[in-house]
Amino acid sequence: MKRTLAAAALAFTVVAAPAAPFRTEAPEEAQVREIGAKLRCPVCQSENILDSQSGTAREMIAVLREQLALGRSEAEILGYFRSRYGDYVLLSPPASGFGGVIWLVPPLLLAAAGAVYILLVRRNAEAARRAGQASQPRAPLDEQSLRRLEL
Amino acid sequence: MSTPFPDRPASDRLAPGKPAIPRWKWLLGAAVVAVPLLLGIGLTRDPSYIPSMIVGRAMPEFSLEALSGDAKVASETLLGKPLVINFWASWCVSCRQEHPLLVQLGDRADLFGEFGIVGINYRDSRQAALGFLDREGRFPYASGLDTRGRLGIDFGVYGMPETFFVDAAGIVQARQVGPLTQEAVERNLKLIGAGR
Repeated sequence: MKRTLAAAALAFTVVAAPAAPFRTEAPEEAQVREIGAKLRCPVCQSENILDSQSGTAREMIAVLREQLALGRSEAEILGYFRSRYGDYVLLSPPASGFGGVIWLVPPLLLAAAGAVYILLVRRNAEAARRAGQASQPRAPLDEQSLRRLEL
Repeated sequence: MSTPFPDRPASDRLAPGKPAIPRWKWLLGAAVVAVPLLLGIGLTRDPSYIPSMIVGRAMPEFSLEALSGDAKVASETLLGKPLVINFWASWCVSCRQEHPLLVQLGDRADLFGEFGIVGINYRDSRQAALGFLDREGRFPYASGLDTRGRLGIDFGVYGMPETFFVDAAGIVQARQVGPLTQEAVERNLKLIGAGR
Protein backbone atom coordinates (compact mmCIF):
# COMPACT_ATOMS: atom_id res chain seq x y z
CA MET A 1 0.00 0.00 0.00
CA LYS A 2 2.77 2.34 1.03
CA ARG A 3 4.57 1.51 -2.15
CA THR A 4 1.59 2.24 -4.28
CA LEU A 5 1.11 5.55 -2.58
CA ALA A 6 4.74 6.48 -3.07
CA ALA A 7 4.55 5.54 -6.74
CA ALA A 8 1.39 7.56 -7.14
CA ALA A 9 2.99 10.55 -5.43
CA LEU A 10 6.02 10.23 -7.68
CA ALA A 11 3.86 9.97 -10.75
CA PHE A 12 1.96 13.01 -9.60
CA THR A 13 5.12 15.14 -9.33
CA VAL A 14 6.12 14.09 -12.83
CA VAL A 15 2.72 15.01 -14.19
CA ALA A 16 2.43 18.18 -12.14
CA ALA A 17 5.92 19.56 -12.81
CA PRO A 18 5.37 20.89 -16.35
CA ALA A 19 2.21 22.59 -15.17
CA ALA A 20 4.30 24.96 -13.04
CA PRO A 21 3.91 28.49 -14.41
CA PHE A 22 7.00 29.28 -16.48
CA ARG A 23 7.35 32.83 -17.62
CA THR A 24 7.79 32.82 -21.35
CA GLU A 25 9.21 35.78 -23.20
CA ALA A 26 7.50 37.39 -26.12
CA PRO A 27 8.43 35.61 -29.36
CA GLU A 28 10.02 38.73 -30.87
CA GLU A 29 12.47 39.02 -27.96
CA ALA A 30 14.77 36.43 -29.55
CA GLN A 31 14.93 38.65 -32.61
CA VAL A 32 15.55 41.72 -30.43
CA ARG A 33 18.55 39.94 -28.94
CA GLU A 34 19.79 38.72 -32.29
CA ILE A 35 19.71 42.17 -33.91
CA GLY A 36 20.71 44.02 -30.75
CA ALA A 37 23.91 41.97 -30.52
CA LYS A 38 24.92 43.28 -33.94
CA LEU A 39 24.49 46.95 -33.04
CA ARG A 40 27.23 48.86 -31.33
CA CYS A 41 26.34 51.37 -28.65
CA PRO A 42 27.49 54.72 -30.09
CA VAL A 43 28.32 56.29 -26.74
CA CYS A 44 30.39 53.37 -25.42
CA GLN A 45 33.49 51.63 -26.69
CA SER A 46 33.03 48.23 -28.31
CA GLU A 47 29.86 47.27 -26.49
CA ASN A 48 26.64 46.16 -28.09
CA ILE A 49 23.38 47.85 -27.20
CA LEU A 50 22.18 44.85 -25.16
CA ASP A 51 25.19 44.90 -22.82
CA SER A 52 25.37 48.66 -22.51
CA GLN A 53 23.78 50.40 -19.55
CA SER A 54 23.72 53.77 -21.31
CA GLY A 55 20.47 55.60 -21.90
CA THR A 56 21.17 55.90 -25.61
CA ALA A 57 21.58 52.13 -25.94
CA ARG A 58 18.35 51.52 -24.04
CA GLU A 59 16.52 53.94 -26.29
CA MET A 60 17.99 52.16 -29.30
CA ILE A 61 16.57 48.88 -28.00
CA ALA A 62 13.21 50.62 -27.60
CA VAL A 63 13.44 51.75 -31.24
CA LEU A 64 14.44 48.21 -32.24
CA ARG A 65 11.36 46.73 -30.50
CA GLU A 66 9.09 49.33 -32.09
CA GLN A 67 10.43 48.63 -35.55
CA LEU A 68 10.11 44.86 -35.11
CA ALA A 69 6.51 45.40 -33.98
CA LEU A 70 5.96 47.32 -37.21
CA GLY A 71 7.16 44.25 -39.09
CA ARG A 72 10.43 45.69 -40.33
CA SER A 73 13.10 43.22 -41.42
CA GLU A 74 16.54 42.91 -39.84
CA ALA A 75 18.17 44.51 -42.88
CA GLU A 76 15.76 47.46 -42.71
CA ILE A 77 16.42 48.00 -39.00
CA LEU A 78 20.20 47.76 -39.38
CA GLY A 79 19.87 50.17 -42.31
CA TYR A 80 17.90 52.57 -40.13
CA PHE A 81 20.69 52.77 -37.55
CA ARG A 82 23.38 52.76 -40.20
CA SER A 83 21.83 55.79 -41.89
CA ARG A 84 22.18 57.63 -38.59
CA TYR A 85 25.46 56.39 -37.13
CA GLY A 86 27.17 54.95 -40.19
CA ASP A 87 29.08 51.66 -40.38
CA TYR A 88 30.36 52.44 -36.88
CA VAL A 89 27.10 51.20 -35.41
CA LEU A 90 27.58 47.70 -36.87
CA LEU A 91 29.80 45.50 -34.69
CA SER A 92 31.00 43.55 -37.71
CA PRO A 93 31.87 45.96 -40.52
CA PRO A 94 30.28 45.34 -43.92
CA ALA A 95 32.47 43.45 -46.40
CA SER A 96 32.23 46.20 -49.02
CA GLY A 97 34.08 49.47 -49.47
CA PHE A 98 36.67 50.19 -46.80
CA GLY A 99 35.17 47.43 -44.65
CA GLY A 100 36.33 44.98 -47.30
CA VAL A 101 39.94 45.86 -46.55
CA ILE A 102 39.40 44.96 -42.90
CA TRP A 103 38.03 41.55 -43.86
CA LEU A 104 40.71 40.96 -46.50
CA VAL A 105 43.85 41.84 -44.54
CA PRO A 106 43.89 38.94 -42.02
CA PRO A 107 43.59 36.15 -44.65
CA LEU A 108 46.23 37.89 -46.78
CA LEU A 109 48.60 38.14 -43.81
CA LEU A 110 47.97 34.48 -43.02
CA ALA A 111 48.71 33.51 -46.62
CA ALA A 112 51.91 35.60 -46.61
CA ALA A 113 53.04 34.03 -43.33
CA GLY A 114 52.29 30.56 -44.74
CA ALA A 115 54.32 31.32 -47.87
CA VAL A 116 57.28 32.51 -45.80
CA TYR A 117 57.01 29.41 -43.61
CA ILE A 118 56.97 27.02 -46.59
CA LEU A 119 59.90 28.90 -48.12
CA LEU A 120 61.94 28.58 -44.92
CA VAL A 121 61.09 24.89 -44.49
CA ARG A 122 62.15 24.21 -48.11
CA ARG A 123 65.37 26.12 -47.69
CA ASN A 124 66.17 24.23 -44.49
CA ALA A 125 65.42 20.90 -46.14
CA GLU A 126 67.69 21.87 -49.03
CA ALA A 127 70.49 22.82 -46.62
CA ALA A 128 70.05 19.58 -44.69
CA ARG A 129 70.17 17.59 -47.95
CA ARG A 130 73.38 19.33 -48.98
CA ALA A 131 74.89 18.82 -45.54
CA GLY A 132 73.95 15.14 -45.74
CA GLN A 133 75.63 14.81 -49.12
CA ALA A 134 78.73 16.54 -47.88
CA SER A 135 79.16 14.33 -44.82
CA GLN A 136 78.97 11.12 -46.85
CA PRO A 137 82.36 9.41 -47.10
CA ARG A 138 83.77 9.93 -50.51
CA ALA A 139 86.01 6.87 -50.48
CA PRO A 140 87.02 4.37 -47.85
CA LEU A 141 90.36 5.17 -46.29
CA ASP A 142 93.24 3.13 -47.49
CA GLU A 143 95.55 1.15 -45.23
CA GLN A 144 98.20 3.84 -45.17
CA SER A 145 95.90 6.62 -44.00
CA LEU A 146 94.30 4.41 -41.39
CA ARG A 147 97.63 3.58 -39.92
CA ARG A 148 98.60 7.25 -39.90
CA LEU A 149 95.46 8.21 -38.05
CA GLU A 150 95.76 5.50 -35.42
CA LEU A 151 99.47 6.19 -34.89
CA MET B 1 94.45 22.90 -49.22
CA SER B 2 92.97 25.33 -51.66
CA THR B 3 89.66 26.17 -49.93
CA PRO B 4 89.20 26.58 -46.20
CA PHE B 5 85.73 25.01 -46.16
CA PRO B 6 85.54 22.45 -48.91
CA ASP B 7 82.28 21.00 -47.57
CA ARG B 8 80.25 24.15 -48.11
CA PRO B 9 78.62 24.71 -51.48
CA ALA B 10 80.07 27.46 -53.61
CA SER B 11 76.86 29.55 -53.44
CA ASP B 12 77.27 30.10 -49.69
CA ARG B 13 80.62 31.69 -50.05
CA LEU B 14 80.75 35.46 -50.24
CA ALA B 15 80.35 36.22 -53.89
CA PRO B 16 81.04 39.68 -55.29
CA GLY B 17 77.44 40.04 -56.60
CA LYS B 18 75.77 39.28 -53.27
CA PRO B 19 74.77 42.28 -51.08
CA ALA B 20 76.38 42.48 -47.65
CA ILE B 21 72.96 42.88 -45.95
CA PRO B 22 70.39 40.39 -47.25
CA ARG B 23 67.03 41.67 -48.49
CA TRP B 24 65.03 40.06 -45.70
CA LYS B 25 66.94 42.11 -43.16
CA TRP B 26 65.97 45.28 -44.97
CA LEU B 27 62.33 44.16 -44.99
CA LEU B 28 62.43 43.28 -41.29
CA GLY B 29 64.02 46.66 -40.52
CA ALA B 30 61.34 48.46 -42.52
CA ALA B 31 58.61 46.57 -40.64
CA VAL B 32 60.22 47.35 -37.27
CA VAL B 33 60.07 51.05 -38.17
CA ALA B 34 56.68 51.05 -39.93
CA VAL B 35 54.58 49.17 -37.36
CA PRO B 36 55.28 51.49 -34.37
CA LEU B 37 54.89 54.45 -36.71
CA LEU B 38 51.40 53.31 -37.77
CA LEU B 39 50.46 52.55 -34.16
CA GLY B 40 51.74 55.99 -33.17
CA ILE B 41 49.57 57.64 -35.81
CA GLY B 42 46.65 55.59 -34.50
CA LEU B 43 47.21 57.00 -31.01
CA THR B 44 46.72 60.55 -32.24
CA ARG B 45 43.20 59.73 -33.43
CA ASP B 46 40.10 59.94 -31.26
CA PRO B 47 38.68 56.40 -31.02
CA SER B 48 35.25 57.66 -29.96
CA TYR B 49 34.88 59.90 -33.02
CA ILE B 50 32.06 58.80 -35.32
CA PRO B 51 31.94 60.39 -38.78
CA SER B 52 28.61 62.07 -39.38
CA MET B 53 26.03 60.47 -41.62
CA ILE B 54 23.68 63.41 -41.54
CA VAL B 55 25.88 66.06 -43.14
CA GLY B 56 24.65 66.60 -46.69
CA ARG B 57 21.23 65.17 -45.93
CA ALA B 58 17.89 66.68 -45.00
CA MET B 59 17.41 67.57 -41.36
CA PRO B 60 15.14 65.09 -39.52
CA GLU B 61 11.70 66.50 -38.76
CA PHE B 62 10.66 67.01 -35.18
CA SER B 63 7.97 68.43 -33.01
CA LEU B 64 8.94 68.57 -29.36
CA GLU B 65 7.40 69.91 -26.21
CA ALA B 66 9.07 73.22 -25.35
CA LEU B 67 11.14 73.55 -22.20
CA SER B 68 9.20 76.70 -21.32
CA GLY B 69 6.01 74.67 -21.49
CA ASP B 70 4.10 76.80 -23.98
CA ALA B 71 4.18 76.12 -27.69
CA LYS B 72 5.77 73.16 -29.43
CA VAL B 73 9.22 73.41 -30.92
CA ALA B 74 8.65 72.12 -34.44
CA SER B 75 11.06 71.81 -37.35
CA GLU B 76 8.53 73.05 -39.94
CA THR B 77 8.25 76.47 -38.28
CA LEU B 78 12.05 76.82 -38.31
CA LEU B 79 12.65 76.06 -41.99
CA GLY B 80 13.19 78.60 -44.76
CA LYS B 81 16.15 80.24 -43.06
CA PRO B 82 19.58 78.96 -42.04
CA LEU B 83 19.25 77.20 -38.70
CA VAL B 84 21.56 76.31 -35.84
CA ILE B 85 20.45 73.33 -33.72
CA ASN B 86 22.25 72.88 -30.43
CA PHE B 87 21.88 69.69 -28.38
CA TRP B 88 22.56 70.36 -24.72
CA ALA B 89 21.92 68.91 -21.28
CA SER B 90 22.22 70.04 -17.69
CA TRP B 91 24.42 67.00 -16.92
CA CYS B 92 26.88 67.91 -19.64
CA VAL B 93 29.97 69.63 -18.30
CA SER B 94 31.32 71.08 -21.53
CA CYS B 95 27.88 72.56 -22.28
CA ARG B 96 28.73 75.14 -19.64
CA GLN B 97 31.85 76.02 -21.59
CA GLU B 98 29.96 76.89 -24.77
CA HIS B 99 27.02 78.47 -22.97
CA PRO B 100 28.06 82.16 -23.22
CA LEU B 101 28.76 81.72 -26.92
CA LEU B 102 25.29 80.26 -27.48
CA VAL B 103 23.63 83.12 -25.61
CA GLN B 104 25.60 85.55 -27.76
CA LEU B 105 24.63 83.62 -30.89
CA GLY B 106 20.97 83.76 -29.85
CA ASP B 107 21.16 87.53 -29.39
CA ARG B 108 22.76 87.86 -32.81
CA ALA B 109 19.99 85.77 -34.39
CA ASP B 110 17.41 88.00 -32.66
CA LEU B 111 19.06 91.24 -33.78
CA PHE B 112 19.98 90.47 -37.36
CA GLY B 113 17.75 87.55 -38.28
CA GLU B 114 20.33 86.01 -40.62
CA PHE B 115 19.65 82.61 -39.10
CA GLY B 116 17.41 80.89 -36.60
CA ILE B 117 18.62 79.01 -33.55
CA VAL B 118 17.00 76.34 -31.45
CA GLY B 119 18.11 74.21 -28.52
CA ILE B 120 17.34 70.55 -27.97
CA ASN B 121 17.47 69.55 -24.33
CA TYR B 122 18.78 66.00 -24.59
CA ARG B 123 18.02 63.19 -22.09
CA ASP B 124 17.33 65.53 -19.26
CA SER B 125 14.52 66.52 -16.93
CA ARG B 126 12.73 69.84 -17.21
CA GLN B 127 13.55 70.68 -13.61
CA ALA B 128 17.29 70.05 -14.02
CA ALA B 129 17.36 71.88 -17.35
CA LEU B 130 15.65 74.97 -15.92
CA GLY B 131 18.01 74.88 -12.94
CA PHE B 132 20.98 74.81 -15.34
CA LEU B 133 19.62 77.85 -17.22
CA ASP B 134 19.03 79.69 -13.95
CA ARG B 135 22.67 79.20 -13.05
CA GLU B 136 24.22 79.76 -16.47
CA GLY B 137 21.80 82.27 -17.96
CA ARG B 138 18.71 81.81 -20.11
CA PHE B 139 18.99 81.16 -23.82
CA PRO B 140 17.33 83.93 -25.87
CA TYR B 141 15.66 81.17 -27.92
CA ALA B 142 13.43 78.17 -27.34
CA SER B 143 14.55 74.67 -26.43
CA GLY B 144 12.62 71.49 -27.17
CA LEU B 145 12.61 68.53 -24.81
CA ASP B 146 14.09 65.30 -26.15
CA THR B 147 13.70 63.51 -22.84
CA ARG B 148 14.30 59.99 -24.16
CA GLY B 149 16.90 60.97 -26.75
CA ARG B 150 14.83 59.79 -29.71
CA LEU B 151 15.59 62.85 -31.81
CA GLY B 152 19.24 62.45 -30.82
CA ILE B 153 19.24 59.03 -32.50
CA ASP B 154 17.74 60.60 -35.65
CA PHE B 155 20.58 63.14 -35.70
CA GLY B 156 23.20 60.49 -34.90
CA VAL B 157 24.14 62.26 -31.67
CA TYR B 158 26.62 60.39 -29.50
CA GLY B 159 28.06 63.00 -27.18
CA MET B 160 27.10 66.23 -25.58
CA PRO B 161 27.13 68.94 -26.73
CA GLU B 162 26.61 68.65 -30.47
CA THR B 163 25.60 71.45 -32.80
CA PHE B 164 24.18 71.12 -36.31
CA PHE B 165 24.19 73.81 -38.97
CA VAL B 166 21.31 73.57 -41.42
CA ASP B 167 20.96 75.71 -44.56
CA ALA B 168 17.78 77.45 -45.71
CA ALA B 169 16.83 74.43 -47.83
CA GLY B 170 16.84 72.22 -44.74
CA ILE B 171 20.06 70.37 -45.60
CA VAL B 172 22.49 69.75 -42.74
CA GLN B 173 25.80 71.29 -43.79
CA ALA B 174 27.98 70.84 -40.72
CA ARG B 175 28.15 69.22 -37.34
CA GLN B 176 30.24 70.32 -34.39
CA VAL B 177 30.94 67.66 -31.76
CA GLY B 178 31.96 69.10 -28.42
CA PRO B 179 31.79 72.70 -27.26
CA LEU B 180 31.43 75.43 -29.86
CA THR B 181 34.20 77.89 -30.47
CA GLN B 182 34.00 81.30 -32.10
CA GLU B 183 35.98 80.01 -35.10
CA ALA B 184 33.73 76.95 -35.51
CA VAL B 185 30.65 79.18 -35.37
CA GLU B 186 31.94 81.57 -38.05
CA ARG B 187 33.19 78.79 -40.31
CA ASN B 188 29.95 76.83 -40.11
CA LEU B 189 27.65 79.85 -40.39
CA LYS B 190 29.36 80.61 -43.71
CA LEU B 191 28.56 77.08 -44.85
CA ILE B 192 24.84 77.67 -44.30
CA GLY B 193 24.83 81.11 -45.90
CA ALA B 194 24.60 83.13 -42.69
CA GLY B 195 28.20 84.17 -42.25
CA ARG B 196 29.66 87.60 -42.41
